[in-house]
Amino acid sequence: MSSIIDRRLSGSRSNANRERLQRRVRGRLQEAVEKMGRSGAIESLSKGDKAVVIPANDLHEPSFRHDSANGSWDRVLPGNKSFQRGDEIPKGGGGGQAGREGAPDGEGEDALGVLLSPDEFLDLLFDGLSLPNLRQGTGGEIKAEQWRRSGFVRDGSPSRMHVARTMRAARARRLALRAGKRRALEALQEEREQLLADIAARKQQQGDVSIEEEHLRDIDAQIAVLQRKIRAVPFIDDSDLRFAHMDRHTQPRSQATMICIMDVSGSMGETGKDLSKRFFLLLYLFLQRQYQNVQIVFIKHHSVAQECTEKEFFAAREGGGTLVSPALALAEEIITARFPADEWNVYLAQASDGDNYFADNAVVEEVASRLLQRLRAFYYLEVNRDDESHLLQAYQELAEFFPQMVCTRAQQREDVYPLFRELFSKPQVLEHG
Amino acid sequence: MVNRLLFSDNDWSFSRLDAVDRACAQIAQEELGLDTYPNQLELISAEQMLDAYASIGLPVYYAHWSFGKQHAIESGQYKRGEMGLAYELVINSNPCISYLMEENTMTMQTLVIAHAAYGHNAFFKNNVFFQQWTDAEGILDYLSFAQSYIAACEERYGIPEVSTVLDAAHAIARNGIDRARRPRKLSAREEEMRRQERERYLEQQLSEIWRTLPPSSSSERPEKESRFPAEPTENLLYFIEKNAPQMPSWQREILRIVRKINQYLYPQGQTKIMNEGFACFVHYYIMHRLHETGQITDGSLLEFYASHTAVVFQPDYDDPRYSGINPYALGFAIFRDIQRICVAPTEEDRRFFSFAGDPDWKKQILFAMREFRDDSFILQYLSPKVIRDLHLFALHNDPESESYRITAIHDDAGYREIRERLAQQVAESSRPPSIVIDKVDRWGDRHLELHHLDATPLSEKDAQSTLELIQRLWGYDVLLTSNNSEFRLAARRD
Repeated sequence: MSSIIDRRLSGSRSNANRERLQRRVRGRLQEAVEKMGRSGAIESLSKGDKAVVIPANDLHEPSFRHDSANGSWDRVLPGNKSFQRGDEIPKGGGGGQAGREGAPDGEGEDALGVLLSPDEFLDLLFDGLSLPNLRQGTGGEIKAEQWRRSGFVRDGSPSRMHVARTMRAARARRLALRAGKRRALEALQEEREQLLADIAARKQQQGDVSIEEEHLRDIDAQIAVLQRKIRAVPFIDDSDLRFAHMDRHTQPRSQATMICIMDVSGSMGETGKDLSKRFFLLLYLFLQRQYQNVQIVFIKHHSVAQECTEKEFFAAREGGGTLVSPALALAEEIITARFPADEWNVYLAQASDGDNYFADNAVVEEVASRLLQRLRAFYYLEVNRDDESHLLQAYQELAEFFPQMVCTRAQQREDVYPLFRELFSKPQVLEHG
Repeated sequence: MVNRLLFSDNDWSFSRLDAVDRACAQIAQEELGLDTYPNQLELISAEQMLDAYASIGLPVYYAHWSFGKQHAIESGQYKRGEMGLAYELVINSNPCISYLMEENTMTMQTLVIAHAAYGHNAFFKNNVFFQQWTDAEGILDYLSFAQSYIAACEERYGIPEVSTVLDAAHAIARNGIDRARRPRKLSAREEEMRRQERERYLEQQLSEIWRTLPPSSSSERPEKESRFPAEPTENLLYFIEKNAPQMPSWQREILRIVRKINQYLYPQGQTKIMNEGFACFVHYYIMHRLHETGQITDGSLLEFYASHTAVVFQPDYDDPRYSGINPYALGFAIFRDIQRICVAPTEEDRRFFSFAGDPDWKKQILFAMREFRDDSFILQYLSPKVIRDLHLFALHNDPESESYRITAIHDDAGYREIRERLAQQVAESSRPPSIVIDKVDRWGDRHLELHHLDATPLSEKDAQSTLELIQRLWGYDVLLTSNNSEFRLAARRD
């Protein structure tokens, strides 16, 4: 009789192998992912599976095998049409090719395509990067709750029943409840043996045994009662049940916020906007992926600054003149209102072409130096310019006093990812704050 | 007339599978007289079939990147539509597990049950080679032991460490099979106990052959010339497991696991043609009987013919689809021919086969199924008729010559030669190059000397990489020389 089992729901078991494969080709994957990070379309970075091609050589599995191209061999083939015994067929082409079989194990391996899921892709893309100067546990923390095992309790959901503990409790209870009765039973049985011997002895002397027999019946009755009681101790009882207990533990976790400021003024142009968006998208994906608890604030500005949603931020197409200071002022306002520096790690990233209204630079300097005291890091990305702007110069001056001020420049899209990696991979020393 | 149809439309359901299984069992047991292990039919999805492919069809297997690679290749081909999946997969275990794909129609499920659950199953249970070399009872247990042991090693020593050992073990797995001696039966618990015993022993003892302390007196000084091993030995994996000078015991255990599993798989490679041929023969018989007894419709029979002919199709050598001799086609042709030789023998058959005209063709079929493996099966049963039907011819390659030579075709002069050549070819294709361990330099630098015995040269690049993997296991230099040339490779300790 056959048994029929539905295995379809037990799912795939290839994950462990897949993970080991990726571990093995990690270097190659990293290379390919970085290439995509540099030049791939921005929108598709976080979406869809990515195919990475690994040269077959990297994954070749060697073994001792014969070289079928050399040496003499005989082979039997099907489908003879016109050959006669003794025919000669020129090698390498012509009507009678026999070479298709020539790759017994593994010679003809092609390059291997590995598909990376979006998560795997991002993990590789942001491998080794982190937010600098992140304060752990000194103020600025929230209590995150987590379930943890903590001992055993007497009731709970059946799925959490702990069999070993339950059986141990049951055994303890059975031992405890039976022990007294067992002892009494043994005593009675001994007494009964004694009595039987007495009766036998008296009978031999033809004495009267009625009292003893009465006693014997009495003992037998008691024994029966005790045996029943011992049997009645249940093998397992409700009181034996033990359940693994889960408890909530609060865990301090540091929290961080990133304020993104993008220049969307008319002077930025398509390239400038593309470069900034690329940078911010990487930043956004990076924070989303690596940190559970990072708040992101989006600010776009031309001559006025405006807080906006993520969607508006990345879709922004505006025009007009440029004033940087309102954006910084808005950032300052938001920080004061929502992210007090002793509770939050605050970061700020700004992208602009540096084309600021000249008189505004002094204001910017003033606001920025106030802001900097409350920031863990301030990233300024200047895009699409051949020379250094006055804004950049002003920031560079600030950088001499504030090590958390970091300025960098990008000319073309291929620059963005390497620059991004550089910004977030070097550990920075923070003296202030 | 009573309607005996098992199904009329083509969707499968569990109750239908059950009914079909009973019907197949009845025909297989009562009419063909097949003796099988109990069956376990498991329904799986295409994705799970791909998983099973990646682990050589084993239901439980340890994790290794090469299986991930296999999976990536196959799922890629499958998704691009370049490869269809097998309708079934069957495991030589007791109970015998057959995987059925959920995509199959009911007719296909019937075919698959007849093919795998009765054809292959009977073969696994009765073929002498399987009986002697594998242990269907113990394999599932052993596989889960192997999986958990290797997982524990990964935990303890790290995935890269374990992977290095497995890479090397896989490279010489085909040179790790005892071809002359039957292996001991597997049992997971016994295996675990033996493993612990071995570990204790190894921890206590220093291997005798590595005793290099100066002997107490000169008279006891061992003969330096004495060879070790005394005879060249061909089981590389076993030798290294037992004798590698400084290998930790967990690594020895991993070598042992790879060796045992390959030993278990060994008969499958030796009986591919017979195994598939017999399963095809059985499904062909059962499907026809189901049709004759009114249990499946004409439509089902036609659908069956369509897939059956696709399975046993042998493309000609010059066909773009040609990729060697199709074991299904050859095996099925020979088994059908044995039946024909019994039922309707010709003069020629009587000259070639002593059993020609035996009225009990089932007995002859079962005898052939039980007692042979591919090469001896071909030698015994490949008839002139099958050679003619397939238009077989033999080709000779002389590396010095500018052309190939036809040495035999399907005529009176060629039948025997084709038969012998094909048997030899089948035997050779399932055999790895003959490489033996010649000598260990016990008293010197402990290097290991391997020797290649075949006339056919080795692929040098692969041999070098394999040698480097062996070197990692052995821990000291490894050399390889060959019979047929000046060929000499070495992998040195760095």
